[in-house]
Amino acid sequence: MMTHHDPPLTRLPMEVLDEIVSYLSVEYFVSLRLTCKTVERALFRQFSRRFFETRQCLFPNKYNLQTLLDISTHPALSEALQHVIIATDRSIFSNTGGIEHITHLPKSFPWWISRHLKHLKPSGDFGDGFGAAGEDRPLLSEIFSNLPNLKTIQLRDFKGPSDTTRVRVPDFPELSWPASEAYARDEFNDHMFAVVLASLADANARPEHLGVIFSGFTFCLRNLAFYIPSQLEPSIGAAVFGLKHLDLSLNLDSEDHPANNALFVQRFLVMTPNLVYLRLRFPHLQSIFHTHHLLAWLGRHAQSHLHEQPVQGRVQWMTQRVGLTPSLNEPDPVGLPHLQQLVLENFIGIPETMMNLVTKFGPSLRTLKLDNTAYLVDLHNKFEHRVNIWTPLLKHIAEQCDLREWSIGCPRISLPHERRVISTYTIDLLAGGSGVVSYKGDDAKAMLKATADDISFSWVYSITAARNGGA
Amino acid sequence: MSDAKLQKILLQSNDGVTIDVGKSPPLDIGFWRTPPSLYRAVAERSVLIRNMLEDLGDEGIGNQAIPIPNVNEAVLKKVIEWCDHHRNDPVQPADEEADTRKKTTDIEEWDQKFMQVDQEMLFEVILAANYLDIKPLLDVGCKTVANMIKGKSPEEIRKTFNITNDFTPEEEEHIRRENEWAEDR
Repeated sequence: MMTHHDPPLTRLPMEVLDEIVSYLSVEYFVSLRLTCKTVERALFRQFSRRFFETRQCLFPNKYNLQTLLDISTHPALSEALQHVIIATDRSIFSNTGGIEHITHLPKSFPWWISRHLKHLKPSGDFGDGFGAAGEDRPLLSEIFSNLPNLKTIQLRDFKGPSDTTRVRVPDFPELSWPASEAYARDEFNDHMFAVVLASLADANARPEHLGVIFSGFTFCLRNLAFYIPSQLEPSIGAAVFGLKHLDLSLNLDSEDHPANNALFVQRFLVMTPNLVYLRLRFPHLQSIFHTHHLLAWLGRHAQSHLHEQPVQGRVQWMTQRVGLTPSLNEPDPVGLPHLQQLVLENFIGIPETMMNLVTKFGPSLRTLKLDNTAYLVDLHNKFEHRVNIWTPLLKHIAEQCDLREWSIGCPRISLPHERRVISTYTIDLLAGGSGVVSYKGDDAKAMLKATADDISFSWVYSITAARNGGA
Repeated sequence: MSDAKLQKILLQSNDGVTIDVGKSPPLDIGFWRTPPSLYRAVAERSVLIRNMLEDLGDEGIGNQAIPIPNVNEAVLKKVIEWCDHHRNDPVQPADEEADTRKKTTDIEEWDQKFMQVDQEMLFEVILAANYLDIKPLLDVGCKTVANMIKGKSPEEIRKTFNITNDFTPEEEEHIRRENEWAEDR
């Protein structure tokens, strides 16, 4: 029972104390809760909410996962934890010549990097060694099973634009330095994704959000990352069945003519029929073969028969290669009847694919974003025909969907060329290719139609855009 | 303009003193006095009082003092002083759950001086601002306390606020462990 002899600070109501600590950085917040029991108790709700609702595990090494495990066994904090973010970007060390060569850290490195380094053995304990022996799955399984309110799992890097490496964590200064020229293709993320899925299954977890967000294309998930051994299919299926929000960064095999480069991704999506939000990011400027199999499949209705368009001339061979008929081995298309938001980043596709996506998801779709660069590869168009396919497409979208929000980033047309689909005739539609038009509100339909009419074609062959892909 | 706007507004503190919103110090000092039409603007810095005035209606206000049961005379006068100084401040937009970590503790000069009072009064003003629902005054008070905490160790904070450490060594170790997790993000 508090009396007037208690220190005034301890007599403040909880909401006022919350307000006071909202002005304090973590350093003084934790000092304050060390002062006495009354203050500690009053601050606990805020403490757990602010620092434990979302936990970022920078590098899934033994030390970091152990910390996460310790938190997950805490009776109160484990209940607060809802969002787990695992950062797997190891490239921030790659330009230093490997971890064993680090003797002095640049001053710009924040303290937590040094802290992580302290716990790393010179042999490179963060990833390369760890996980190879399979010790990460039981650890993650235990962590996930200890978290009753787990909602989100995110695998991500903290890389920024392509020419620099950036680390951005709330409360810490941003640091950046030149990234090394090229990274070897990194299989670690594929491994981590598979481990996360298996661990969620082991733990009987039922998350709502799953995100894989990598900016460097060598770190994006490949088709094989989605391979699920048949004995794990039922348990992983149960774990991801209720997913509402899926965010994937994909680097699918873009060899010229694979039968179907997205088979395992397709099978995975079949297991997530309750999605409300789907975002697919592709690396910049791949060929059409990169995205075609996945997007064409996604836009297909179950047992649908797409009409084949008659083609002639030099694009005939390409049409056959891209193929409007189902790809080899593909599963029945997933329905996604609740899908309200579809985001495609670095969209490359033929107009038919986009039309099908919009027709299929139109009834439920409220948000459509074609972010960054959106290429339409018009197989039946030639430079001299100068046919604008974006205007009718956008009008079709406006008709088919009851959108509340849309954004079209850098809409472009690419015309087929003898050897490659992309990189020849690229035409920027808005403000020299840098334009993004977007709208959110009740007039979305009318605004999209208006934008469709506004699209201007200069039909100037843009060498720069062709070379850089507008990067 | 209705007659009510010209009426004085009387508040009654919990120690039974009736305070004229237009007559609280330092408004009586010097030749300038608050015009009656501004009494309401001053009183309405408090959302609680504003709602009460609305409920009472123009007739209801009359010459009756509005009881403020949780605040004593000295504190109420101090609060009215703040409200008078800030009577023309624009109304703050509703907080959109701003990112708590980016909040600044800068306080304007007049408010800093206003808050140079003993701790008992500082916390009483904060409690009154909370009770009377005067968000900007509550913010200033909380920032002031936050600034008293910043840069201090737990022991220094205890000393500042006259707090006795009642943790056992085991409990303290437990809290330190949780603190480390919080810092290690």
